[in-house]
Amino acid sequence: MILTALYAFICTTGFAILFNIPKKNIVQSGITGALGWLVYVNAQTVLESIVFSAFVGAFVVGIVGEVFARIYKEPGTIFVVPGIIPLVPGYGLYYAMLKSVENDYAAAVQSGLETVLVAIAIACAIISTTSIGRMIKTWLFQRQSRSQS
Amino acid sequence: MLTRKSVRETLDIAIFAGQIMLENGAETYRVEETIERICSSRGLKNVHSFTIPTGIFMSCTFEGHDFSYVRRMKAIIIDLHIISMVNAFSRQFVTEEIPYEDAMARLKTIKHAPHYPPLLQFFSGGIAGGFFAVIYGGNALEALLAFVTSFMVVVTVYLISKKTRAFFLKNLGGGMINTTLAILLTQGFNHFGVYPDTNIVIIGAVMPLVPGVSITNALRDTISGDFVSGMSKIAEAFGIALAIALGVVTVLQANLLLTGGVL
Repeated sequence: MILTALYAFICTTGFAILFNIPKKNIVQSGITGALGWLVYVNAQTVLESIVFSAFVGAFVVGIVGEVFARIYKEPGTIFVVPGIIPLVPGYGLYYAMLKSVENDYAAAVQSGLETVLVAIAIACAIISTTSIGRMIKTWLFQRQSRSQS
Repeated sequence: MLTRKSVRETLDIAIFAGQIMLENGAETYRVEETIERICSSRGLKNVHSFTIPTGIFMSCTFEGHDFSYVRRMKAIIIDLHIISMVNAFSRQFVTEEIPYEDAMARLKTIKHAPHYPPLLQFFSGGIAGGFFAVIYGGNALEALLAFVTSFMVVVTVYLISKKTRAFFLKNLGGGMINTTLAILLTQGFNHFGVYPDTNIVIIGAVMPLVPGVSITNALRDTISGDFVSGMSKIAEAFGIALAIALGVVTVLQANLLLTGGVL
């Protein structure tokens, strides 16, 4: 359990360096990735659905990323893009292409469809957390300005 | 006081900031917002910006005259540090007066901001590939082989992208190097009576190439209503995946022909 999180942490930090994220934020992006992966793996045993687990995992990544974004005053993308790395279906897309080049169209369609669904699930989760983050921010801002006047 | 010259300068700054962001993989809505924010802060009216991953279009009005700008864009990489710096710059530009020359000089420094040293990039690519092999159920030896393969894949991509900005070639090359090395290394170990799984090595080492973030961002754009840029990114992701798959399959087939399929 802790080992899985550690592996995901290392994968995420590796990608964070490839994406050239600032030195001071590498550890936080690793934590984001590890938490997301941990939730994803555990959700899979409970929900028995890869797509929905990816949604839950990405939702956690989005929330943690938004929290880090507020703390460190950086755009949330800095933490979210490396954070979703363990979840993103890049391998599925590659596998679909591999199978279609090998004339195995049934496997290609199956893997391709799953890839698209997982990608939609992650995209929905990230959009939800970003919008919720913005709503909270404007709400706090309005309350602040009202109490001042 | 606004003059035609200062309007032109503001547009220059806005479009340059947008271009840097887009080239480094910022979301299209972020680029549009940045351009509109920079222009509106200097009193320009009717600022509209339309951004897709292959270009920026914008127009605005000043004293009854229309100004417009088109900038063609090629080759997108992901560099989150540069996005964050342009973001900070645009926030500062909106709140205080920054002379044109200073602003352009700052944007130029941001554009050429240093990356991590190549060796560290190769190493972290290798680490990522190695540990992906572990996540997909590989053992320590397979992880080590995936590390070496993945290291070399990132080196290949780095070398090819110095010569050409075409995404197809670098992914094809990466896929071919990946499979060649994976087969050679595992066959080398077979001689010593150890049998690592070639597929796990290939899967782990292909991870630094696969367009997972592209496809997710593409669907994110599509769902939030930026259909054109969403479709454009989906096309990019499929192209990348196809290039990698072609590279991998070519080598696998060659191996099949040469050795009769003894992996």
